[in-house]
Amino acid sequence: MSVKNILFILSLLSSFIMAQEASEILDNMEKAMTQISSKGIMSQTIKTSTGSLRELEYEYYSGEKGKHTLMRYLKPSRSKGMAILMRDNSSQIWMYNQRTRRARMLASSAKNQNFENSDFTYEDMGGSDSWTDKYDATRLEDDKDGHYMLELKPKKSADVSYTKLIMQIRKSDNHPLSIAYFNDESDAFKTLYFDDIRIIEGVPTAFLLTMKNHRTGSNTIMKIISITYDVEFDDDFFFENNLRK
Amino acid sequence: MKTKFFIQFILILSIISSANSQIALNGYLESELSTQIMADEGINLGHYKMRFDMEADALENVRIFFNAENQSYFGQTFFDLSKFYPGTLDSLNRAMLTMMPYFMRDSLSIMNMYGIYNTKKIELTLGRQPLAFGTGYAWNPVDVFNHKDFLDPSSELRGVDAVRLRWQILNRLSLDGVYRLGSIPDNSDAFLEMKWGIGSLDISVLASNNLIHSLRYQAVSSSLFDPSMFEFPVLDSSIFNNLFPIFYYPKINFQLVERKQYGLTFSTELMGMGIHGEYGHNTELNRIDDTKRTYQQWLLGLDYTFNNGLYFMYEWMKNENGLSSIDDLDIQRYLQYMSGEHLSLFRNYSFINLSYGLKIPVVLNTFAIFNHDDISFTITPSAQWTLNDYLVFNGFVGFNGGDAKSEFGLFKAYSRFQITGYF
Repeated sequence: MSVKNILFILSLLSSFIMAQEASEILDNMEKAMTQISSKGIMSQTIKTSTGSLRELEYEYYSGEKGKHTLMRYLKPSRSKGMAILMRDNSSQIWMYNQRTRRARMLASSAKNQNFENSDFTYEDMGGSDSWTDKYDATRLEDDKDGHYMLELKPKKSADVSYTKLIMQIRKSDNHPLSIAYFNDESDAFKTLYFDDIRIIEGVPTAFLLTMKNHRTGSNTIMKIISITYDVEFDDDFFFENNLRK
Repeated sequence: MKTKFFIQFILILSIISSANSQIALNGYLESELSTQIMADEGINLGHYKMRFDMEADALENVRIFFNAENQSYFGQTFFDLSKFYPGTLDSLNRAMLTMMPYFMRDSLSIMNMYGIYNTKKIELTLGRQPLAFGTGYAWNPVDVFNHKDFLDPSSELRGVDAVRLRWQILNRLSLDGVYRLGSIPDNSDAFLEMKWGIGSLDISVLASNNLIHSLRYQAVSSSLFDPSMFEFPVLDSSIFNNLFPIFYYPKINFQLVERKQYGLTFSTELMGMGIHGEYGHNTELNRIDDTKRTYQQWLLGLDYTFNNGLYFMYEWMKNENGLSSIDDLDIQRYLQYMSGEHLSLFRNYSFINLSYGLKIPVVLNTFAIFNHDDISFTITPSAQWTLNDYLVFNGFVGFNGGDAKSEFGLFKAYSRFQITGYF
């Protein structure tokens, strides 16, 4: 066996190990981030490129490791009572209008739409344990602070809106510190930052999430007001019927 | 006086609310100015509206809702309907319509006042409540309780005085029954819907029986001279007719028509595109003359959100109860439509909606409605600017096309500007 062949096999082996390592890091990150269930109250402050501010507050329920999410608006008063249900990682989105007491199912193409004109899309809001199903991870060189850096590219059959994600993950607890979102351009068009990470019921939890849109200059800040994990929901909780209650 | 009473009422409830955290109060103030331009004249009109919403937890599993509106109009509040009639009128019918003007009067209304009792499987709603059935946006053939304004389909409608019982049999299988109280049981409406879902398909079958107070119009002739008042035959009445000319006046009465409807609705998606539809098979029985007629109504809609955030919706609606030609229009049909008796004036319509949210808090929206029977249309670009969570500006300008006697061509253009402040 020539040296050239040995080098080739070693390089294949190394990239296999790197890929395996990357998927393990991603898997650990998902385990750290995604609990079986949670509920809480969150606020969202949307700062537009013109500088105007909008503030929302809602109850947040998440089940089956973030696969299903239900949100009920508490503020502002004009949106109070409205609710959104995202099932199966946002593949089914239901919106409930209390004024008409009617729930409408949105087509899955709506998941690319911005949630309440914020910098988050429905896809961003619904489900966080679907990264391993939808993306192939590659480990990049650690950053200067020694955090893991992963590059995620969508699998061929995956129905996702982004062409690439770059994640910065803290080694101590596998919690992400930032996620950069790419479309076709070489630069990230928006980045999500995780701050104020506290341990709640043994779970590292980012109380401050900031999505910055680099193209428009807008940003959206999500704050956790209260949160609790391992909540037991009824079997029919994440269904359209529950939007009315 | 009404406004003063309304404000006092709200102040009292605000005090109660601040003392009791279980009661939530909110609402909005709205000011609107619109202009309509016809072939030979323009009209300015507008309103001030105060909407007040209250909800409270009354007992465990019982929630109470109350909404009231006080609306004051300005600008033109008196309308000569003959100017808004799309077809051709002879001088007699023009005079008849002129004799039946439409007024917009200041109003104070209780829009909704209802309580909901909820258990895991049962939801019972009692009182004046919002009811909305069907999957369509611009039209809902299966919704026998409401008459939507398709130029403003999302506008809030007054509630229906009814009892509603909803039984969630399984997670995606439910049975929904509504009983609208009439003056006697025979004059009440009943509605039943069974709805189920599998994956991204939602489907429902419906049946309803409702009573329509169908408007009847006639031009009645009269004279101060009536030959029948004489006991002897009047050989030549023309001399009296010249002295006492015949005059006409419009006469309106109502006939009870019972409508039975069997319907179907669905919504699903295919490759990211939403597809929805409604079908209604209607049989109407006139309780006065026992005549019967049947007609069908269909709606099919598509919607899609593009990657850049552009939202597109298309709806096609066919109403066999509508007119197929402007030549078939008469005053009775026009008045019936204006009073909300019919889903649409004509048979075949298309509705297109494009919406795009800018990165600044402005949503651009355009809708267009095409009447395929009289070949007229309206295209309305609009913008909604959300200044903050408490102040929203809305504005649109509509351009119409078609013959001057057609449904939409009657108006050349119109505009509406609205400021809404939420509290």
